Amino acid sequence: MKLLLNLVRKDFKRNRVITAVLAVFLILSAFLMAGGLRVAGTMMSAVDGLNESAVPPDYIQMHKGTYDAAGVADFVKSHDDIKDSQTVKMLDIRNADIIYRGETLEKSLMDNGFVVQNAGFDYLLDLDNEIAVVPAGEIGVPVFYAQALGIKAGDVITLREGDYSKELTVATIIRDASMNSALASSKRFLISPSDLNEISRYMGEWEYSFEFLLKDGALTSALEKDSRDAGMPSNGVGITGSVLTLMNTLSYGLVAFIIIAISLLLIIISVLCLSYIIRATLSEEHAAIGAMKAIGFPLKAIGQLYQIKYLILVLTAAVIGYLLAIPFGDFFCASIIMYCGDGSSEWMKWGLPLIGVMLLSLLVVLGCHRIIRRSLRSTVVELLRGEEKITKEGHYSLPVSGLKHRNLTIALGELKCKWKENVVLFLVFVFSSFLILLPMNMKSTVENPSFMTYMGVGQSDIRIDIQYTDNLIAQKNDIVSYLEKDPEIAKLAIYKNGYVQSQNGLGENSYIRVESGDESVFPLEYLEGSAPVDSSEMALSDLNAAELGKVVRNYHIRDQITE
Amino acid sequence: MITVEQISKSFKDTPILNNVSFEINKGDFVGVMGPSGSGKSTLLYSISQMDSISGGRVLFEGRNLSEMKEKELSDIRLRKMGFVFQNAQMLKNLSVLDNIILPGLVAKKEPAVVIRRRASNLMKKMGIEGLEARDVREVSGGQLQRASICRAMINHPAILFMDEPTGALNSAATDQILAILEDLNREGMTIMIVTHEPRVAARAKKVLYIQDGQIAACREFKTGAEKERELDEWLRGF
Repeated sequence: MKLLLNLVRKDFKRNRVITAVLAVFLILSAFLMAGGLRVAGTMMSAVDGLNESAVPPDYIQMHKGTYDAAGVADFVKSHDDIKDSQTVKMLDIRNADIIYRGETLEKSLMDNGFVVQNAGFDYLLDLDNEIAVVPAGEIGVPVFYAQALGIKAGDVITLREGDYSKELTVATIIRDASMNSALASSKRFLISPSDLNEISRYMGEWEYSFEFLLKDGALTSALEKDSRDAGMPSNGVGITGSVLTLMNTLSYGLVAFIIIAISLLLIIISVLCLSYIIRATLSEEHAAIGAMKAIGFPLKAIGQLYQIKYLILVLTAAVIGYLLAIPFGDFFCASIIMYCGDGSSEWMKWGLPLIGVMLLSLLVVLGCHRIIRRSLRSTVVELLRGEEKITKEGHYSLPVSGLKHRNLTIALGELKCKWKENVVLFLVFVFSSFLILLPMNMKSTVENPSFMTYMGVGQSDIRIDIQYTDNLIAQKNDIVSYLEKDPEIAKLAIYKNGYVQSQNGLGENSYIRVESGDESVFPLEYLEGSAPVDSSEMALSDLNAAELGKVVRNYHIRDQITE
Repeated sequence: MITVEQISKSFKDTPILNNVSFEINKGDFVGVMGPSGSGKSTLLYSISQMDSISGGRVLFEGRNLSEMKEKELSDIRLRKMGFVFQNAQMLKNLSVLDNIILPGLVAKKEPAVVIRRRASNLMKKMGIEGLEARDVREVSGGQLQRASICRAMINHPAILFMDEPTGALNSAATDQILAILEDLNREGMTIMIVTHEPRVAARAKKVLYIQDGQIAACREFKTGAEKERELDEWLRGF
């Protein structure tokens, strides 16, 4: 072994540039792989930890206006699969009435609700992931605002409506498993019951959320359907646990996903480069390998000699990559940790990257082993004369008529003979180009004004949603008459949203959200078919069509749209 | 020592060796001659199993080399055979001395200090002492070829296979090498050398003439000044 290490050391010394380039590639791959997995591990652990402490509901139905409490209680009683339920009273306060450092929260797009701590589940947690307790005169501020506005404990939040004003001191920053994500359009502030009572007398509008915890194995989709069938209060959005998970994953996981995706591409590029370099190096080394075989060097030792060389490179890269990934991952995890905490299982953020770099190392080592073993199969003579290379490369013939396009003919001939090496180079170019073009394409796609049409929304400059108020029609009419008077508005259209019951390919019923109105004002492009023209037609999103097993011209709707 | 029984070798459909049989005894100095492309180098590599054969068998000290596993063959090459190629085929990352002692270290038969001492003696005998630390690219072709003979000798092989060892050397360097080979043979070393130069083959005790993949003739020569002339005359007959 000492002898082999000595040979490897001398080889590294002589081929410094190749060794350095290879090392950089491998370190970068290991670094990104470990970094991405560290972010992913931290995210999973943090979200798990938050969910463990906060116990988020499996299904939430928001509601504004009065409701029949006895009907809700009956609904809960009649459903064995409901483990626990609660009705949370939330006082919605207009952003213009919430003041921090002399400025209102009007610029915020969030709906802000004030609540007291829940009793059964869906707890609002402090930064130690403990159930937050806020005494009178104090307030717990969502972590979203702490990050966006730099609000910290000790700051003062003022609520003002007309002559009424209430100052609340920030006691803690709140983690909210249900509404943490920046994608959730509502945020909850935690205050004491006495403050909530007092404030509700002067300002705000009550909103209720009916929250349900389900027993293991129970389906939220079934509960959602039953809830609608039973005519449960539903003047607001319904959110399932899977939607909450999706929002959290999208908010926190996107960074991890992008890093892992880029690292995978880099790994592919590295492995391809490595295989190219090993092939090229070994073809240069064929004579040396032949000489070693000739003098009786055992095949195993020759294989080890070359494997040790790449093993040292890979292991060094893995260690450096893993170590670099720690600060890198922590940097990208700072936001996740702020939103969700340190997490429940530490091993994920240490173990996952370790497994990742180990797999990467194994992949590279096995790749090297395969290429080296192939070379060792050749006889001494083949190696010494380079015959192995010649038989593999094949040959090409010059045209009988002479060389009209000499450069092209020779270039194509060489391409044909060394097609394996050229395929590797080609793939490296493809993946590198993809890596360069992907972010640019994503940027231009997202920045394109027509991007919103991908979501099933016509291209417009402003979209105003009025949701779930008691005087919806009056509000709509006010807005329309205001907009019609505005000379800067070129065109406008009104759409109404609602739910329809639908049946999938398996005969199961569920509700899907639909929008109707004059689609010709802000038209959409359809993958198949055309815009609905009468009341018997509707257009489905590609995802919905796949989920429901529908194609164009299928009979689909069971109910008429209900507002 | 070596019995070659009807070995054949083809490349795709082209026969290169065709039913070749002969024997090499201990202490022999066999020269192999023949026109270019006749198969003389192929014969040498086939006998030493550095190249595969299509038919026949090669017995080395009574054991069939063709039936041996690669590990056993490596061991025989390491301990019983020495090889010298037309281009020295040294490992470019090692110094001259390290190249010479490498097979000794791989064999692990003796302590490194003994191997080094033997390497020094061999280098002195070959007239290349003082080049130990030199890079293989810093020495002349003749010096390198002598170093490769040292490498071939480091494990006291039973037989030395040489493929055109003087092909790339000038006349003075060739004479030096040939003198060394004669000395080694006198000391009991068995040698098989492939060459196209009559004056090199004239140092051998027995010469095989290969033509179209077969042994066209075989002749033993007496030692003495007339040997080279005698060989010339014999070769003129082909």
